[in-house]
Amino acid sequence: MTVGRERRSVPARGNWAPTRRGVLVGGAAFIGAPAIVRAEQPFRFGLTPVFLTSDLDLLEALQRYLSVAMGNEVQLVLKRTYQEITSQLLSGLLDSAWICGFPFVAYRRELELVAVPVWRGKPTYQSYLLVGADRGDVSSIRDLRGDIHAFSDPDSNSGYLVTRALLAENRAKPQDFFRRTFFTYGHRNVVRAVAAGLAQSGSVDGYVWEVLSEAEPELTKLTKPAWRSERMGFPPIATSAGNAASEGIRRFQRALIDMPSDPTGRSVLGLLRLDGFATEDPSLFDSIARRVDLVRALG
Amino acid sequence: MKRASLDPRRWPLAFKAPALVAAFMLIVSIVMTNAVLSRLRETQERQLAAMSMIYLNGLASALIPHVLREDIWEIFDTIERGANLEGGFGRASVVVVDSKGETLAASDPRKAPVLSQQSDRDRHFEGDAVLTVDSDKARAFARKPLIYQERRIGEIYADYDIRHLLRERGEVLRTLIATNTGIALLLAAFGYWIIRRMLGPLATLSRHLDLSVSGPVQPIPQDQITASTREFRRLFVRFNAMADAVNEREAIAKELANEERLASLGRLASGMAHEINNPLGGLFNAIDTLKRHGDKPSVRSTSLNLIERGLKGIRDVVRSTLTAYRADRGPSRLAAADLDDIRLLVGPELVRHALSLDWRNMLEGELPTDASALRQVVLNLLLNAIQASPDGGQLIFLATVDAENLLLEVHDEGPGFNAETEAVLTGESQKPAPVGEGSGLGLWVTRRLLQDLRGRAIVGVSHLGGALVQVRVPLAPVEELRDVA
Repeated sequence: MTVGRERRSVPARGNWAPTRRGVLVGGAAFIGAPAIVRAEQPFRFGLTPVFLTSDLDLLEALQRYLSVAMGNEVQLVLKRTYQEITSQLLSGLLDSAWICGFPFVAYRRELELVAVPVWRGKPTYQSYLLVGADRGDVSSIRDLRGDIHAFSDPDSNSGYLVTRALLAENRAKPQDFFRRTFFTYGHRNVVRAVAAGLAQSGSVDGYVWEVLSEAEPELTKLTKPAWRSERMGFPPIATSAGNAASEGIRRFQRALIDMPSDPTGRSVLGLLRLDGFATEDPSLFDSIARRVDLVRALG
Repeated sequence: MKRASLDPRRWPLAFKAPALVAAFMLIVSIVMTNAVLSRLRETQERQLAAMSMIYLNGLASALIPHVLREDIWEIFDTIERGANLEGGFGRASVVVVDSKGETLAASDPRKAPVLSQQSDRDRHFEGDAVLTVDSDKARAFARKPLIYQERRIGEIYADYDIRHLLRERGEVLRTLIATNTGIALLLAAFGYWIIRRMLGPLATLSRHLDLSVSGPVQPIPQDQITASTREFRRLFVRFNAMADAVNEREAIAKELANEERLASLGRLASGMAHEINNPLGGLFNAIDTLKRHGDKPSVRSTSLNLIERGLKGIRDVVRSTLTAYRADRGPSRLAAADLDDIRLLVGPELVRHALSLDWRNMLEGELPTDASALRQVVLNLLLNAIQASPDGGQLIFLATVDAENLLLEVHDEGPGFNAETEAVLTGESQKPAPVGEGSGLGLWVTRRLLQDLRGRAIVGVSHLGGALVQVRVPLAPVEELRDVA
């Protein structure tokens, strides 16, 4: 996304390219809220391609809700990859970020949980191995040998780590097992790649695929999940360990938890198809940690 | 035109000229259509090439960084977004390959999967060409090398759907055909009208010529001559001059025919005088004998018998002559006796040539036809037969009636007709009256009489060895008889 990346800082609404993709995989962007009086430093919240319906409506609603609920100006910072967002979070450029379970586990010591989204009543989701709808029976990953395979992000749990670990259990590496792999830096892009036939299979966030099948059934009906992982901790909202006890994070956490009780918050949750946010124990991500260990052990 | 002919040289001018105009228009429109279509094709291909270049240049600059990184997804995504910007041509299908010709991404990955070999796409192009058009498949093929730091790192192949361009050509072709057909038909109709107008004087001429077949040639009225163009005016003046000449000749021919009738009458009269003269000698002898020996009853009786027979002979001759030329009966009825008179008339001629005539007159009652004209016909034919027959020969005359016709036959033992005289009699020759000794003026008169009677004569060979003339005259009342010879 050259265009998005060149647009380093977008001061306010209106300069946004009005496409879903522009927002989804768009590079860095800040959404300011001039209406809020700046009493203190704005709260900087980083977002990643986890978002599906990340159009202007969602970003505006989220930004407006958080600013009002926290009583503080909130800047939404969009990054293309998990890596970018994680490193900015670790370096203190961001106050908090919506990251993936994989970076959270990888940087467990440096990061603390703020909240975990609740989807269909649970703070968990699955990873899917996606194939074309017209493809014959695929019962295990072994049937995907020799495919062109689409991953979403090298730091994504569902879009990379799960498949990597699955191969590791079979003593294989993606570059040997698949004929060719590529990253799309977006779960929706994985669905698109498989639907178009660019890739014969893909690793995708189950939550994204399920929500897409409601929002864009004409796209998802060209694909089918061939394999589903067990339930794992949903991509969490995290902050750096040093910042975890701050007043800003406390207010931010409160705002997230209270989201279902506010009309704006409910509309944000509606757009995200989420039930709400909850505080969870980091042990929710143990299964992801086991996969990281497995992959590391294999080298 | 009697019948449509396949030979164009025989087609009427009023059809030929418009057809020529239409054919000329056809040639012009074929040439024009070709020129317009080839020009349109050139323009379309030039535009296609220009748009293709703009499109591929834009695509190439967006793709080069992704191709360098072999970023399959970003290449695909860029192509997809580019496909929405095509606008100018139908849906393009794009394939991006690396320097080895292996597919990095394609707009339709199912047709060109990632890593599939695409080097055979170059077969669409000749030499360094970057665009080729395949009208049969309604596709255009374009290619664009991806050059980075003067190195070829890959290639874009685009495949455009150009059905809309071909459709446009088809529409132009249809419009041209419709317009040119319309113009050709209009010009042909106009040409037909013009030619008909120009040929109007010829129709006048033709009408007057047609009239001349059944009667005297009618000159073209002066107002029509002045109304026509200069060329036709000269033609009409000459036609009128010819009409005058023909009419004059016709008058002379009538005069001739009259004279011929008188001449034949003269011949008959001399024959008759001879016929009367023969018994006259005997009669005077008888009177002489009566004067001298009239007191003897036997002599008186014999002489009176002789005188009576002689006078009877003379009376018959005179009666027949009178009946032949009497005008006391309506001309529209013919009785058997009218023909029998002819037998008496030609009797002296027969005797003179020692000919025998087998007379078979089968007519009964009166027939609705012109008696005097028909008697003249029979007389002429018999005189002709007598003239042709060798002395001592035989003649046969036969008159019968079938359903609607009076049939006459005259047989002789003569040498038969030559072609010229036969043509004069049967009317196959439109030649005017022959002039000269024994030239067949009598036959010509006969033909004219038959023509008035709407009858026909046929010449054949008689079982007697000579000529046979058969005459067929329809038995319908003759309305108006011309002043026959």
